[in-house]
Amino acid sequence: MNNTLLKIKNLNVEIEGNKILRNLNLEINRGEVHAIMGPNGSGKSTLSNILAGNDGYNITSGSIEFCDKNLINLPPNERSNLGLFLAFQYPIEIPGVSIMNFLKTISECNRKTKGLEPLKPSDFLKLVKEKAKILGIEDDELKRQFNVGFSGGEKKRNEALQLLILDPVLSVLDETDSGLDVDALNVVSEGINGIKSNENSLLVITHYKKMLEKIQPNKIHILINGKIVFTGGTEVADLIEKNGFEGFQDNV
Amino acid sequence: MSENINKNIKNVFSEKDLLFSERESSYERFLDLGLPNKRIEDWKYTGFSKLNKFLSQDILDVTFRLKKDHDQDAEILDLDFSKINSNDYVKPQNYVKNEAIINLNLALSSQFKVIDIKNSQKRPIVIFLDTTEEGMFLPRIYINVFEGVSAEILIINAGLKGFINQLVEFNLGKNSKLILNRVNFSETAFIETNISYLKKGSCLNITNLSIPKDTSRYQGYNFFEEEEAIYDFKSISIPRQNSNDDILTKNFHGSSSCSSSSGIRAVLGEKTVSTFQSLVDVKRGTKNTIAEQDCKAILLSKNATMNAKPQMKIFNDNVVCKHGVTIGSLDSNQIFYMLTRGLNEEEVRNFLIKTFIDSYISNDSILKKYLPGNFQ
Repeated sequence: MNNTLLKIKNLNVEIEGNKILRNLNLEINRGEVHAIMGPNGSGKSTLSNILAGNDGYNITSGSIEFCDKNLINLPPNERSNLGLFLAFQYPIEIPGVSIMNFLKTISECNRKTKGLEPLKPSDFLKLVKEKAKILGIEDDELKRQFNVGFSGGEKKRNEALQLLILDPVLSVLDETDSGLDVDALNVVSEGINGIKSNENSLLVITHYKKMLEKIQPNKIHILINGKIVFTGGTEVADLIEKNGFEGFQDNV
Repeated sequence: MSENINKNIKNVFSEKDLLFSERESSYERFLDLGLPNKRIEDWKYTGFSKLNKFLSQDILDVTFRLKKDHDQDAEILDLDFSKINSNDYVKPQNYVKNEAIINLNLALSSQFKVIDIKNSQKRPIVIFLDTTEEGMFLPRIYINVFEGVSAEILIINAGLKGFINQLVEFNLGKNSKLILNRVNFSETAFIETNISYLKKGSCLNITNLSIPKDTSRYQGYNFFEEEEAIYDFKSISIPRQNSNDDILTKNFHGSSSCSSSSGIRAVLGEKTVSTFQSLVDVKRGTKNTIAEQDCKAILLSKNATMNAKPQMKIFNDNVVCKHGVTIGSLDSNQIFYMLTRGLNEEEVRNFLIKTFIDSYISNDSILKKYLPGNFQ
């Protein structure tokens, strides 16, 4: 099995003629945790959306390989079935469906693609409660309508809960830490740390070093104007906190 | 047309019939008005003038089946027309003026069922109506819920052939409650008129699941005759193929402290059309009225159409009324989100539609099992 999980090569992306990503290159191996930091509008969320298969963007050139497959032509559901998960920056609301019902639906779908039978209701309930507990989600919250009336932090914990249930190969966390208070950030980070393994990888998009302190990425990439301008270790987060992105502008 | 109807009346009814003059008078009114066409405001979205061909056909009875496992406190009677009080017979046309469809039913109806519910029911009364022959079907059903009684009825309409013009009246006694679940599986031209007379503290709760395969019209006229009555109407409209589902409710607030709510959730594919017209009419002198109208529709095709016409006639200050209409396609953000969780497009579409419907009817609704399989 190839150790490279995700390989992005010379990726160029536009929206309505505006270049968003420029010759972006990124390689993530199995078991690695990468982080992307960058100022607003640098293309971080575009990258996460492109990976998830949002067709609102125009990929003008470049390639994305995930699990040895060309990702670009795959619809979002097939990417998910390969093991790619995006924790959204702005999770949507679905009125009329409980979190539990939603989780059951995506879990059954996920198991079906793996050739597995749905879990027995009692086993599924046990699994969800166990994962919810890790994230500090009360049982009663699972009965609530999906993200309806949720605070920003509650929505992010709900994203993390899905991540724990689906146990993906590559998790892209698009500013999962925004909206979380300090306690919730600790809980969610610990939950995410719990799924780290030699097989699974994480791509964490963030503005803050708090979460990175908890998750301890192998590499931090600085994305400015759609281009990765610098890659380093955890010390990069300290530099950014101290000096902002100013010092990296020269690398653009 | 006149000769045919006259012949029909005389074929079916004797001039000695006590109601013959009422029938003749209704028939004359019908002739004056003609079959509904799009020039009439209430029928502007769905004309039925194409039904002329049925007027010369035989008048037949629908098959009326009653599921027997309900509590036997409800009496279902085939009424002898000769025993009907003439004022009661023509009451619908006196309450709802200038409605040709009602006049047609009164003129030619050959089938009159009365359901007297004298004691509260533990389980729903289930009624199944269907037609399998070409002809004109004009059933009339009178549902009488006695004072203080609570009951639930499920009526399944599954006409396959002919033209059905069904008139159902509800007489709700003081402090009575009726939950009516209506399923419309008709595959032929079908018009149902409901007229409800609501006494003090009564509650009529209608959930309508309409999945027609031909042109279909439901029209409900609700009269608050005494105070503190409640009328709640929820319709789920999922017309099949290229059919047309037309819903109209008119709530006449003639007494104080009454509340009415009329709403629809429509799921429209291909060239289907759904129409929701709703009127709240608050009479002068009534107080503390609460009324609501709401319409939400999902268009799954560029060729599907939703018509919505909320109306309010309010002659008082002390009234709380609201209305809202939301029509659009499935939310692209929701679709993308669900796709990223592994569901394919069809699964996502069905999930979101199911959710849209589920959020409108209660979890334990008897109607859930009648939803199309992919939305259950």
